[in-house]
Amino acid sequence: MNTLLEITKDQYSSVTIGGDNWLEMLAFGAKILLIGIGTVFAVLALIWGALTLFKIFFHDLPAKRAAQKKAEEPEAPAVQETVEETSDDELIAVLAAAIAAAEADAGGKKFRVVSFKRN
Amino acid sequence: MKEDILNFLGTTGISRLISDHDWWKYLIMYAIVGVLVYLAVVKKFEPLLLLPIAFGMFLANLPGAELMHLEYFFDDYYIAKGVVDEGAHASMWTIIQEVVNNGGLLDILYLGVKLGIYPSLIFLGVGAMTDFSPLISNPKSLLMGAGAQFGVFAAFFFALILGFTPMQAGAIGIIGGADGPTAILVTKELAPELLGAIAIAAYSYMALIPIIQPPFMKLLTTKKERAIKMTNLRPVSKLEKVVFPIVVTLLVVMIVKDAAPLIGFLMLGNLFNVSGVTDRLSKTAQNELCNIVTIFLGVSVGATANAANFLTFQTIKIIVLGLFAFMLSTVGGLLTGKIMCKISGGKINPLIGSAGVSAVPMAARVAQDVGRKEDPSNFLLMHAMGPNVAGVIGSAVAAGVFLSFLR
Repeated sequence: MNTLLEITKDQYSSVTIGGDNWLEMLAFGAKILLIGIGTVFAVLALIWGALTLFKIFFHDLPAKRAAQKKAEEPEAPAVQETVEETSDDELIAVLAAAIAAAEADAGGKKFRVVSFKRN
Repeated sequence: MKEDILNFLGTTGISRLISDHDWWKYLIMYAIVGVLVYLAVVKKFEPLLLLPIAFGMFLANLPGAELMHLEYFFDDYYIAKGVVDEGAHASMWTIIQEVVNNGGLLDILYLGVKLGIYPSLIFLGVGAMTDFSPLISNPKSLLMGAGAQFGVFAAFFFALILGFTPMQAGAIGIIGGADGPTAILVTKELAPELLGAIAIAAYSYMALIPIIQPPFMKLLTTKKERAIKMTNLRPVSKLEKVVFPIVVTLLVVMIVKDAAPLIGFLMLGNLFNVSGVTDRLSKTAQNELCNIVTIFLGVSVGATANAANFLTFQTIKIIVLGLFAFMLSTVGGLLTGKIMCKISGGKINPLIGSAGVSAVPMAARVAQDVGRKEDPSNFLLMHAMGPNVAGVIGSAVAAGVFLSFLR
């Protein structure tokens, strides 16, 4: 490579189209083309490899660990829903009044309170 | 009194213009300035750079103003003065002394180009503005960014055939990288005499990407390929974003050391942005610093295009080769996209390959627009940003290759 570079830099004035030096120049150009595009692909492929490792170490493994941790944790006791057996007429009346007030703007649609839950 | 007035009139620009037998060249330069101003102001093509470049050209071509003395930056001037021996190079210190003692404003601003300061500072801002998440999320797109550098090396080869020196050919080839600061950094190192023509070609073609690329995108892809919808990108964690610039700098500079000024500052700017602890630095890099340097860079680079060195047949060849480089880079990216589309079983839309030519984010927008014309519900922008930012890294690597082999 050095010989070619020396030719191109120092003897350029003697390069004539179609001459021997010109052919050498073309060979040099083709060489740089191949080395250049090869280097660009190699470097970017290397970064691709590094980013694939990123995915494994910074994304997949933490996600796997988090899933594992979640699976190992004892399940929290389910909140038992308490259903009131008896109805509270007074409370139903209050709820019905509140809903009626809220729905007043919506054209006064008819409604019926079917159930309610105490917290 | 009459004599004083006549003396004064003799010093005016009008007098110098009339007495210069190449006066028509100035008029052509003003016409070119007019076209560039029109493209920037009316067409809004890359106005942030085309406008200062155009005005820099204007200032450098005002007879008698002498704001720019391009000869101060070349060895011939110092050899003629006897400061430097025949065949030797003038040291940077000699150039700086000459500029400080005798130079005009634009000479002083041009020192930032000559010393390689502006392109790196612009890259600092670009890095702070760039979101690399689409690339981290889909690293395969790096290959499209690499494929889109084909035009850089092909144009280098054809420039050699057309009789340019290897160093000039390298500077011309880098136009295909569609990256202004990279083109300027390489040209000021390899062929400073071509800086004006190359910078103007690079920025003009970057601005014309929405016109240059779509015909090739349609020619090289089928209707079915253009309509491919890509799956959503995975979310990227902050840790990945912070580690990315450090790892990329390390990998690139360890292999192509001459890419260090560009990649180093690109990644430093990005680290400012993603770290979350240097908001002030990130904002400064993105806004004030980037804007100030853009003004200095644009005006001083434009000022290198004076009538004597710009209006040559060589400039026409550079403009043609630059267009050729852009086209081949687009084709290279698209073909890489097509190959990846086939390998992935039709999961990758090859249109995003064209965005590998850098020119962030315009090339990605073009991919998005062409894709949406085929299917309005297709959203390719984020997918195209991957090859787009990969193209920035790719063109910096290509620049490093030229600097390593040709300097």
